[in-house]
Amino acid sequence: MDPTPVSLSVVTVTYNCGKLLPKLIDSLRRQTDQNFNWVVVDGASTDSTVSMISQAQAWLRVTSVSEPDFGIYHALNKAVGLLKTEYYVVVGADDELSHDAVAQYRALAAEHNADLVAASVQIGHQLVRAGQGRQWLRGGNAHVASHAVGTLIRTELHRRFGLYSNRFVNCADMLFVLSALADPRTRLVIAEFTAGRFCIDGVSSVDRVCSLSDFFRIQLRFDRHPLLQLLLFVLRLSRLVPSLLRLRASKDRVSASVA
Amino acid sequence: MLPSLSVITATYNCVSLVQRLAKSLQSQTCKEFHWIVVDGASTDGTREFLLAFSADNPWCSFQSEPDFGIYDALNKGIVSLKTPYYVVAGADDQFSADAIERYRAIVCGGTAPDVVLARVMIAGRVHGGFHPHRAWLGHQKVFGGSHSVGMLIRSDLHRKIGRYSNRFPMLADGYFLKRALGHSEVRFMQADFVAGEFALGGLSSSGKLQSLAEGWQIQMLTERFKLLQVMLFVVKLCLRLPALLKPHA
Repeated sequence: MDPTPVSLSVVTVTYNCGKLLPKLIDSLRRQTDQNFNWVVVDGASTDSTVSMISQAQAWLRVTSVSEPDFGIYHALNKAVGLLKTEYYVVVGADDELSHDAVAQYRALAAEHNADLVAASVQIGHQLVRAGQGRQWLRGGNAHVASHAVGTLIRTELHRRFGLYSNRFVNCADMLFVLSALADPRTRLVIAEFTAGRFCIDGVSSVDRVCSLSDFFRIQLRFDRHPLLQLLLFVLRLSRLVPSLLRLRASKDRVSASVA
Repeated sequence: MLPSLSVITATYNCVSLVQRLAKSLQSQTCKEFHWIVVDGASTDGTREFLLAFSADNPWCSFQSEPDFGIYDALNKGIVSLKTPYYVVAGADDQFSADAIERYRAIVCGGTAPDVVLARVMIAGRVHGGFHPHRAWLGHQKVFGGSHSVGMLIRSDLHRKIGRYSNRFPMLADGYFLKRALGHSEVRFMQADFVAGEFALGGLSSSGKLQSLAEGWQIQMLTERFKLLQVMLFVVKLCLRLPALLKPHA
């Protein structure tokens, strides 16, 4: 007997990315399995983003809000609040989903009654597989290839492990995944298929500094060898130094939030 | 006449503290101010108290909805400002009885500073001072007082420098001040009165690490010699290792 089909949402956070949306909407329209909702949380865009999202309602089941937010995890938490499906996968406006991603995710989630399904993801020129490496070294990346595109999440997990934290600006997703996996009852399924492409363009040195320190703080939470983590952190920091020396305050995204 | 300053308070589930702060504001020698309270959808009676309080006291305005941390709430407060200056007060802070009067005297006194730096009581001792030459050591070494209670900020400054950044959940005030410090047109002014008492909440070991990491990132963005900042950070990490390595609950 076939397992009961599960419901799924694709979650996208947008802000002034009207140029990127046609490609994403196209990749959603081409899904071989059209049984999904598209939940879009927009941060009050001033370009064509909002009108494109409403146009997409002609082809897709769309739920959307547009209002100012305080960063990507704030927006994702709003999306989680809007979810009506058992599962969701985050797909950024500049990411791409393989045509069979929804079909594969739904089939695997139903078959294994999974809490998390981790698929392979194309990141830059590299195909990154899930379930590779050790957590003490790679943190959440030892389990999932990437949170966006590559991880299907059971919505109900947020009731048990909370929403995305507001204390980790770049890595709150990793904290959530590791918190869920720290509970032995959480069922993680490593999938063989490639869910799509995760875009890493536009990651600034500021983001790298922030990710590095978020990563270190999260590792300290879950790892029993803090000195080892400190050593790894300092090593990674020293590799980052050349790009840090080029860091210019005037060019960073932080200054973009002028009132 | 419109008051010249507002007090902004972000609250979440702290009803008894808010009641104490409300009393300290009601007993101010000068009544010419607004109190803007931004609540994050409290469930402990804070909402009910503030709804009733703002209904009885037209100088208090109140809004409540889920937020994403204290600086998200403060930014909402800034949006609803109607006065040219504001001072932040945490729910657990307290003002001296003449704090508003003293702040008001300065801004009505003809000079038009962008930031007034007053003194504050922290854990029983008076803190204050302004040392811009220490900027390379971090914003905590520049500003001896506290952002909350101890600083009167010109509302317009946010147009120039932006609001509180979402990249520093714990120290967005420090980033804002460091950017103000780097701006040639921003005028800081020291005042020698004690504005009140700043409650120094105890930090867990993970909170200490977060504050250290955010402080470093702020330095990387605002200081010129990045390598020096990396080295300072690593030294601080090593010095504070014992405190940082306590179990992270």
